[in-house]
Amino acid sequence: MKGAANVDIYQAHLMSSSKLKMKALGKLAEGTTATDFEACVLLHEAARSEEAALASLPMAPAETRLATAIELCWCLVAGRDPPGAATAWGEILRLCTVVGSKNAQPMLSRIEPLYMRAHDDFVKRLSKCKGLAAARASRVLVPSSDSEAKKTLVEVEDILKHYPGAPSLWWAKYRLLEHLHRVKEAWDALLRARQLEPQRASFLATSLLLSVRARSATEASEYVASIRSRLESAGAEVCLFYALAMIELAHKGAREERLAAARDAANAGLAQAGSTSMRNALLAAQLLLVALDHGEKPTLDIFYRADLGDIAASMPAGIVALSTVVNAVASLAAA
Amino acid sequence: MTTSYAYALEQLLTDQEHDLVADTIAPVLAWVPGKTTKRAAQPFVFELEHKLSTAPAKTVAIHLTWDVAKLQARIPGLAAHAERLKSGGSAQREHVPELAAYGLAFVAISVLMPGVRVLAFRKGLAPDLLFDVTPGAFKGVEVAGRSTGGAASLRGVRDGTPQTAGKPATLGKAAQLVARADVAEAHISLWCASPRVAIQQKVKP
Repeated sequence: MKGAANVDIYQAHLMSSSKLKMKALGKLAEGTTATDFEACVLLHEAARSEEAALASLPMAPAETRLATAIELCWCLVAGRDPPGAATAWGEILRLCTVVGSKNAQPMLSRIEPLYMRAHDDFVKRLSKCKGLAAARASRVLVPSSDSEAKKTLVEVEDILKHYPGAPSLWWAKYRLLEHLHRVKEAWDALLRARQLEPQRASFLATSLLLSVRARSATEASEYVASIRSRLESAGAEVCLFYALAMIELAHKGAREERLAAARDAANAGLAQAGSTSMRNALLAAQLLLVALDHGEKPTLDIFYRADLGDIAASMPAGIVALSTVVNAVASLAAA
Repeated sequence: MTTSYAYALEQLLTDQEHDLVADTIAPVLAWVPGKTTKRAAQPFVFELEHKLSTAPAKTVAIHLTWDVAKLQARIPGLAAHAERLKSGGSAQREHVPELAAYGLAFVAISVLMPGVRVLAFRKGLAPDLLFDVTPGAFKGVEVAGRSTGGAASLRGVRDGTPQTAGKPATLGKAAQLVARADVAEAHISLWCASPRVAIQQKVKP
């Protein structure tokens, strides 16, 4: 009975993915910038449905897993996300070894040339974006100077015209815009990344704090509050940013209620934190909340006591602006 | 001897999953007549070579009709969508014949394989339209569309093409499907808009 139920779920996910792909092709046929992006969003959703279909079959044969990886890769190539497609291609190569080349080779006849063309095209375009390529290689997306950030932003905006489905490029755009204090545009960029990968916790987490800075207090309050019921299972990062967003919102009204919500979130986050740096960041948020509760101005003690001496070391002693504490904790989590 | 079938496009929304076929209908209406008004008149008649495994091929004529009002009731904005696709100018216009061919393949499946409903659509590997998704034993229909070239062009898609100066040989869709260990049953459904010819053939087993 359970096996039959699994097959039904498998078929339902496949049908869902199929409809999304067909709709995406329809959007691509319209060929406008807006419909192209909609197609990319649909194709990313289709890829997630393919994964869900496979996950519903606990004993899937290797050929079926390879077929899923191939379809997923196609979704991301057609969904203009070369970095995402590259991850799927890695899975294809691993599964080809399991299936054996005699069976795998005929399965690759369509996807291999398609993927290789997409890969070459991306590499070619990326090679013209010196700033972005350097940022990707060093994994530090935001250059140290504003002028470098502006140059890299131009490159990112240019490459996004060709790859509107790459969440990592929208993320880069968001980081650069935020660095340049263009928070409303940063919000739009982050929203695009979230549309493509709504399941990515870091996108959701950062959107909470950014919403307070980029949107009206009412809009931000509604947006942040909509996440509250998910905090127990959302992960430490989301809890931390929820707490930081509530701390900033508390300055715009409903102080006690919002600080209480921030405390709850920090506590929920500590229960889910898997790394020392995340625990330290959440501890810093808790210490900040204690200071605010006592009506005290935050000081460097928060960082020292949260075992974040390296942050304290680079700051002048004494009272620290609330936004500085929030930004330091947020950047620690983002790193 | 030719067997004729009349088929109303709006029937497709019943014979197959609505959301799977809905996006293929406007492309059919946009692609088949091309840019000429004269060729846009109903019915679209396709002469189709129908072959089941080892049996000799039969000629089938599919007379495709549609009622715009009925279609629009179930797919809002369909006529305007078809017009937009027809006027084209889009860099992505290659998706129009592709989608139209899927639409026509859905018609052929509904007419020639009665009772068969497509359960999944795949693009990364053949066959495109699956009517049995049993892991390791897929059954489905591989689809292709060509704007011109007629039956010869479609046979090239089915059988492959030999190497010529500057162009490498291509493996036909039939051979590709036969080589696949995870495909238990395969058909091909190939469509040409001008002239209006098609091939529907079972290639495996």
